[in-house]
Amino acid sequence: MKSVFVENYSVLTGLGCNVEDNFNSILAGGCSINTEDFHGGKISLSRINNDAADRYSFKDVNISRLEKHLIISIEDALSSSSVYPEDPSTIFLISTTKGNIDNLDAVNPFKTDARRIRLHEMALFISSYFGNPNRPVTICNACISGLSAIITAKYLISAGKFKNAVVCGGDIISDFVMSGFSSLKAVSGEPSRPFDETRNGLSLGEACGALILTNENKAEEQILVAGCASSNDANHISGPSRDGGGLLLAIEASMREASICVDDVTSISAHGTGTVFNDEMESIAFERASLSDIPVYSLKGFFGHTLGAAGIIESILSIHAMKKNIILPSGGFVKPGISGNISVSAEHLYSQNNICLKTGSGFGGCNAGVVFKKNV
Amino acid sequence: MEDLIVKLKGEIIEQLNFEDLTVDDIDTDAPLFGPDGLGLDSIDALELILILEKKYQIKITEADDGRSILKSVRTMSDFIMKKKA
Amino acid sequence: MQGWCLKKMSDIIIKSHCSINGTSAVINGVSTLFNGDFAEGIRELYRSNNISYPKFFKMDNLSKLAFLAAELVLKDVELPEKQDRLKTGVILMTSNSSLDTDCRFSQSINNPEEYYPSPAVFVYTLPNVMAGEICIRNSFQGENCVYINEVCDWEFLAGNVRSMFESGKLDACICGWCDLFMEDFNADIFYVERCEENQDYIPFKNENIEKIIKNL
Repeated sequence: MKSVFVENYSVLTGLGCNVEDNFNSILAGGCSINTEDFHGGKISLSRINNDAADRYSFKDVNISRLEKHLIISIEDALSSSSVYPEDPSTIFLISTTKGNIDNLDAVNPFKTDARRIRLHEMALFISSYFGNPNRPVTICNACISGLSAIITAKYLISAGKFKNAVVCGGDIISDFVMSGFSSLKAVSGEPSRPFDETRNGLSLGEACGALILTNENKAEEQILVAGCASSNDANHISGPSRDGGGLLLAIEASMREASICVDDVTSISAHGTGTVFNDEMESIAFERASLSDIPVYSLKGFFGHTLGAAGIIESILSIHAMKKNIILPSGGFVKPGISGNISVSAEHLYSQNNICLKTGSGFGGCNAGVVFKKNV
Repeated sequence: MEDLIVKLKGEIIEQLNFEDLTVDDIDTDAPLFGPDGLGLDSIDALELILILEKKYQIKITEADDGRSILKSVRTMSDFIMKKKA
Repeated sequence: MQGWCLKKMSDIIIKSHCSINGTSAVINGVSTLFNGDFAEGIRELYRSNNISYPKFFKMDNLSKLAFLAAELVLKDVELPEKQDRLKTGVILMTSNSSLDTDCRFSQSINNPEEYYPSPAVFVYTLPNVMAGEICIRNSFQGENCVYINEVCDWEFLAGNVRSMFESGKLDACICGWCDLFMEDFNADIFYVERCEENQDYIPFKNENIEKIIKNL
């Protein structure tokens, strides 16, 4: 079984067009969630980077907002990568919850080719744009789609099916998604505050990320995708199980696969949406997993819940933090309001950060855990 | 009042997809939530609020006690009567 | 099912198979007619198989199809105790995702005069909820994933599932294809598990999957 390493990556959110800009913004307490004209963190290319807006005007091609964002972040990741997208030993994996759903909106100036409302057609458009000869793998697994894509890529590489994987995730804010979460009364009127005692809902955000994985150990202290697992609460299709049992299974299975114990974990990048129930459930799961003393953070207070992108971009930012031996802060957090005993901080920490556990949960009762480990 | 109760029961059956229930099967005063009544969950609660908005143009605000209003068919119809008066 | 290959301990085997489409419902080779349109046919399948699960009627059509296919594939299977289903997974593939329900939800929000987004419809605008419904019904808590593809990529699906068994993550799995858009629907579901006993079985291998699917 081949090991799977992180080779390169890129992130596009309302905070910035690349990882460094996003990372620095997070450390400085940036927040792209604008709740005045829109309850969410939208990407505005011209606002975050005039260059990007000019470079990616795509005047000649009929392309959707999501496709544009995906292409930008994949190009950025590939620009400093030695992986060739046209190589048959490279596979593309695309994670999205709603794809080009804005195609169903009553009014939409970006109406793309109607076929690309189908997620696999959109994925094929993206992988073909980069000249990849393989049919891409498309994952639609609610809010853990990004982590499921990483889990699937790990299987494909370690089983020797492919040498490299370009794992991308993205979603846009649409009337469809906004209406839906609002109908569930899940959206906060202010930027979300994961794990905080005053939290009252999530903020939607849009983002894209591209994570390039490979079986080649190319650099010192390269980050490994060491272990992963998914599970189901088997409880309710939209509410998380109160005892965190499903998430606990995913956490323990991913740590087992990574051959690590709780004391080895140096940081936890949680799902932390800012809803009363999700954050409560997660805190209980972390305590039950004996992870109470490990620094845990959620990034959703900085750019919102980015759905199909979340698992990818939050993993990437956590991996970037591991390389810099920084433990990221939890956005929007002031005082804990969960019953699980966990260690959340609003401040970042300079500390050896060799093993990060990334978790996620989603509609349908699904959960996932991925362990990223520095190869030392 | 009885007409409203019958109408409301019909709307609950339709909106919440209770295929095997008839209006006569729903006890007006039985709790809608919990094991003793229809066993509704949190999504059903939101759908009941949607019935009030869609069919009766009544919005439940932060000031209203949602739990008491949605306790039974009786409490729901009392609330509708009060708001319409 | 009659054994087709040599017996071996701890192999991954096909315990049961079910398919449902507009013409018929087939469980392990035994076929019954699918009568009427989707709504009528699925309701008849539900009733004629003596299923009692009121939540069925709240599901969207994709979840109803997946749920019924799972009910039928498990009909004559003796499942372990609930506490021993922590490593039973649900891995499915579909083409249209939740597009059928997406269109329905979209209709409820497109007219600003009649803007009533339904939370009960919205929660089904994700295809993996069909896997969630199967898990809730059967207390399955193992690996969960839904993939989107134009047609079922059995090699990918079976390879992925087999690797989960090999790594110890799964002891059993509901896996296969489940797709629906309006009146175009079909499901092809396998229940596979680890074979611990010395018995006749069909190994979960690509050639056997193909044989079973093509027999229909």
